[in-house]
Amino acid sequence: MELTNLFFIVAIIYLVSSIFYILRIIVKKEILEKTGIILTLIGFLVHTLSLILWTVKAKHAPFANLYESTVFFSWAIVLLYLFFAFKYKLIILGSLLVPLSFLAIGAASVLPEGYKDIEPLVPALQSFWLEIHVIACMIGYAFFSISFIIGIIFLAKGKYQKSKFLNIFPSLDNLDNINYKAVTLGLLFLSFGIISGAIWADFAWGTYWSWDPKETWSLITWIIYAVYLHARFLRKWQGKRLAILSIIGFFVVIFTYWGVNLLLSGLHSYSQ
Amino acid sequence: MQRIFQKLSSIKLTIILFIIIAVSSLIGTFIIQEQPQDILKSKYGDFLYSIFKFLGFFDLYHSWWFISMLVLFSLNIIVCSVDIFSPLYKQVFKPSVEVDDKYLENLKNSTKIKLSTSKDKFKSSLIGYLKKKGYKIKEREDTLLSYKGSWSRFSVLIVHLSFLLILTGALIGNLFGFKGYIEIEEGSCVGSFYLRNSDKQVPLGFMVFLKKFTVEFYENKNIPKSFISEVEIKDSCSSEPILTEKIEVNHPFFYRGIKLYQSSYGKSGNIKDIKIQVIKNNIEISKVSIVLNKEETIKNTNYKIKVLYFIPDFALDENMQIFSKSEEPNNPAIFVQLIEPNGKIREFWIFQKFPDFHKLKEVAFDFRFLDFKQNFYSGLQVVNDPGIPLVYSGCILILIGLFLSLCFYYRKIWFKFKDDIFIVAGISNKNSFSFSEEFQKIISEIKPFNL
Repeated sequence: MELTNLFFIVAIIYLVSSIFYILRIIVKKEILEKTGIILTLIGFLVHTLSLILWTVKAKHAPFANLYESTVFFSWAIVLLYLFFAFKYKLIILGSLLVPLSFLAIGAASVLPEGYKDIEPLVPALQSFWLEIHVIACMIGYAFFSISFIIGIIFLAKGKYQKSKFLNIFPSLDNLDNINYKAVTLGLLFLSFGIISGAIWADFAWGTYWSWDPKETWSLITWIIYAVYLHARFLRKWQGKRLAILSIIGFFVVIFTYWGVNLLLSGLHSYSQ
Repeated sequence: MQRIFQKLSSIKLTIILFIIIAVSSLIGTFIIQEQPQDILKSKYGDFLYSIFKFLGFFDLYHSWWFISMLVLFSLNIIVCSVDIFSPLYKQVFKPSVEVDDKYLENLKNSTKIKLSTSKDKFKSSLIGYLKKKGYKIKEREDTLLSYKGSWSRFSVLIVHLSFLLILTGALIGNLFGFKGYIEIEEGSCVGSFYLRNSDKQVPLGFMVFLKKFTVEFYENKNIPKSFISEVEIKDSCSSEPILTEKIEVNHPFFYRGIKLYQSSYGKSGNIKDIKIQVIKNNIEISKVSIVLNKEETIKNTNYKIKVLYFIPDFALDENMQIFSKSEEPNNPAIFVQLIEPNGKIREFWIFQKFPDFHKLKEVAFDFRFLDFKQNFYSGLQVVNDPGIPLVYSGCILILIGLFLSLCFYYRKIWFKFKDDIFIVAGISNKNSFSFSEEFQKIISEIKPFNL
């Protein structure tokens, strides 16, 4: 079977498990969210195996173009979701995070044919920094996705405080706290991603920073979350404003990740 | 002066600078940077061109106002760091023990407990317990302060100062470093490079001789797998090599403060290993292996031969002038000079793909252009950046700082004794959630001491 088809099946599994989580919000039956997370776990297992098979077949980790990295990004979101679900007992976050992961892998699946081909690595990409750089960036982006989801839940809960459906989500204080954690972890990984990219660029191109659109947008992303931290600690911003900031931040992340590749050209254009 | 200092240390300025830097960087990604004037003019039209030019948008990241923003940003960091240093130092090394009851009672994590055992007995087991949990303890009269993670308060300072390191490194690199480019043809020797964005040629300080260039492609694909320059470093072109080195993409070569990067390659107009077959009456009588512009005697004859030009893709334009349609060897042709034993010179073309074309009756032999190798040139980037060590140390420090601030946090818990009750109250600089949990745990774990 073609590996792209396997990823398509993973997308379907994530879609079905999303439906279970969402039903759980409406119907107060715990069996629904349990079924949801079991399906997510199955999807994640198939996802992991397919990524390994892809690595074996392509002879490089799935980080070399937009399709490969998006499939990995979707995997990273589910990985972090499972971590948050089990560590903080936040299974219900799956009602928004798993759909997001489905959207990512689904969007990758509908990319035009040429985008999904396995291409061998050009010399510039043949470096162990490729793995480090992409893994760090994708994990960072996945943390920002969590922050985005939490931001949305926060705003919804703040607006409809009496809603029975939203009761199932953690308290506003708790959400604010999880959001802060996701942002700091995201920022740490993004910093590592940018720095590893800079070191790699220094090895491959002879300059650690060249204001290439991808680099510049990653800096803009970094600044947004730096503003988040400064506003929180020094301007005592809380709750709603920070939730809005983390939603804006996520749109910038998406532009950095997809927008730059699809709309702007630069040194990172081999990822198309 | 005081007021300037105050303005510079304000968090408002920090956030405004963050936004200005982000927005102007964003503009730069939508406008073509550092391109020749005619390209920009045709893309944006004369009107927009002159506005953008005036604003410095075509080299935005090096424009005077962008640099000024970065300078202002650095000043902001410096002033803020100075500003927070002394309170931070006090907090870490000389935390004040005495506090108001009101202050303690108003804290989010605060509770009053009735003392049911002797104060001294309770205190000594409490201190033992807190020390075991990693808390440091200060005592004054009836107040006991325990605190933990004070060192992590410096992480903020580390992150901020590492930015200054990076910006200073970038400045040093821009002022004292240089970037340039050399193109060397296989078998040739180069001792200088072209500075970027200028026609100026600058000596390298040593000679680079390109011994061999190899490019490998993936099977059935037009994607290069690797390209490698084998170079020799020499003091002068004719001297013995000091070093032999392979320069490859992702594997630059460092020598005397200069880094050489494999950046591009191409086919030069020159060829080598030209093989010509000499035929008489359909029988091969000799084979000549020759390079451009070098006379060679044809074995078994008294003739001499010399190849004057090579054209990779031979064609004629409308004025019957010879030109090459491309760099690719689609229709290779050589222009040959034949020197007959009597000194008579004949010149003619030989085509690899059309051996019978343009045959000369007067010449005693037939010639076949069998084979040749096209010479490669290798494009190497030349970089000298004395700012690199600073930039790298800044990068490492940022990561250390962020990591520290993530894993550790500063928290204080007071125990204030008043007759037969005591107040327990605590505060943390962040992670208020985990701290509340820890606070509750401590409260329940010290209960047995109070029996």
